[in-house]
Amino acid sequence: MTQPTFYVLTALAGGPRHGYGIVGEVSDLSQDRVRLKIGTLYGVLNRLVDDGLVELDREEVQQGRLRRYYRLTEAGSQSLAEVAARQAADAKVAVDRLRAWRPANEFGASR
Amino acid sequence: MSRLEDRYRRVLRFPPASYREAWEEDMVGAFLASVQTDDPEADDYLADYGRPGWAEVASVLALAVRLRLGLDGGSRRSVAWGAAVRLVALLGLLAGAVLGVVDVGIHSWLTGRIPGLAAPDWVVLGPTTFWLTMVHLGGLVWVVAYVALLRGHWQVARALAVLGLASEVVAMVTTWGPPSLARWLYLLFGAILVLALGAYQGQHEPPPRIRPWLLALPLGATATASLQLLGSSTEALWAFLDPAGLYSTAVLGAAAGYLVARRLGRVDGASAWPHALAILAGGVLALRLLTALDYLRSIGPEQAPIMVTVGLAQACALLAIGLPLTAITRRALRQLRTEEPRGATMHST
Repeated sequence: MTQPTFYVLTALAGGPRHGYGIVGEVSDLSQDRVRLKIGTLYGVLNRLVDDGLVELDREEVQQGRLRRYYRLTEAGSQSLAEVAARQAADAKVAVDRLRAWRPANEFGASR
Repeated sequence: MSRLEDRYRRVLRFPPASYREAWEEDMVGAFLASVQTDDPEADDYLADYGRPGWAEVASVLALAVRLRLGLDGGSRRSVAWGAAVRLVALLGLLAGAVLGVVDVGIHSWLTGRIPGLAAPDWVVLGPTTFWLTMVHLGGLVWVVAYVALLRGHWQVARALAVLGLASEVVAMVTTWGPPSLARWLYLLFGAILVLALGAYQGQHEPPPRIRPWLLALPLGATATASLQLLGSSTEALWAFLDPAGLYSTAVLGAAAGYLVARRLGRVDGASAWPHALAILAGGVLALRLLTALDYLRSIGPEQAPIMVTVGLAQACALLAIGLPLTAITRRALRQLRTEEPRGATMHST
């Protein structure tokens, strides 16, 4: 799962959102590290809808424009949970190792 | 509709119509929301004079390419285009690898660097410079790129292809004087090859079988080196064997082989081969015509007639073989379109 896909699913896990709402939410969640362009977002959304991980929630008219809201499906939530669990396990391995790690010069100094 | 919206909608013409039908209005709404500020005056100014930024345009172009090559699934036609582009990229790397091996082999022989094989006494070489040696060795990058691609490392293959392309640019700048039209086209093809390798990120068909493709490298190198050695003794034959001539011969041979195999019922009708060969025939045809034009401008009146005549003859042959391949491809793509299930991708709840 790519980083934009992960963040789009995470953004929708907070509730249904329209396209630009997802862009803003992803930016907030990633502390501005991931800034989705519209072309990238809709490529991801198209794939997620095709895969059944995201679906249309509702349509609203705002300032004369149709605005679509998207929501996570059950399969989407499950897929995100699996990826998050895997990433958490990977992170734990690294954190455990880092706790035990001492810089090389520290070893040298102790000898 | 504001001018800004109109400009963004023009960019959105790149993705396929079926995609636009499902997503265009939503994308336009999201884009316009993304450029809005808290200042109504600035918004009015942007609506008239604003343009979608380069990064925004690039994201839509990348999306269009991914959709048209079926990299995220999509229509069966797009998937077929993706398979053909991947095959073109593989064949392009094979061609680069073959020429790289032959170039290094012949250069090593001519400079007496092959143990047990004396350099020919009928060849007088100019001084070997550092850059010239680097250019010859640079050709081997294509071999490594080709093997990397066969082993499934398309990103490595693409990085090496960029390096190979850079070596071509160095060669162009340091050794061959003012670049000809054909050299620019070679570079353009190299750049297209680098982009085409990106199509491997969405491979749907089984990966290429390694053994026959690996075998194609020494076979192709042996055949090419033999042809070049034969051609060096006969001027009429040499006219067929400049790089564009070699590419033409290879594409004509492969295309003829495919058409015969198809006639005998030995190939799968849904194969990407006719599509890939049609693309290659078109590219090599352009190359062949440009090299003929270069010969007209740059070589002496004694050699020009034969070089140009052979170039034009090969161009005609490429056109003649490219037409049936294009017809087969169009028919196959039309067939896929009729088999495509109809309906929008978005489902309302």
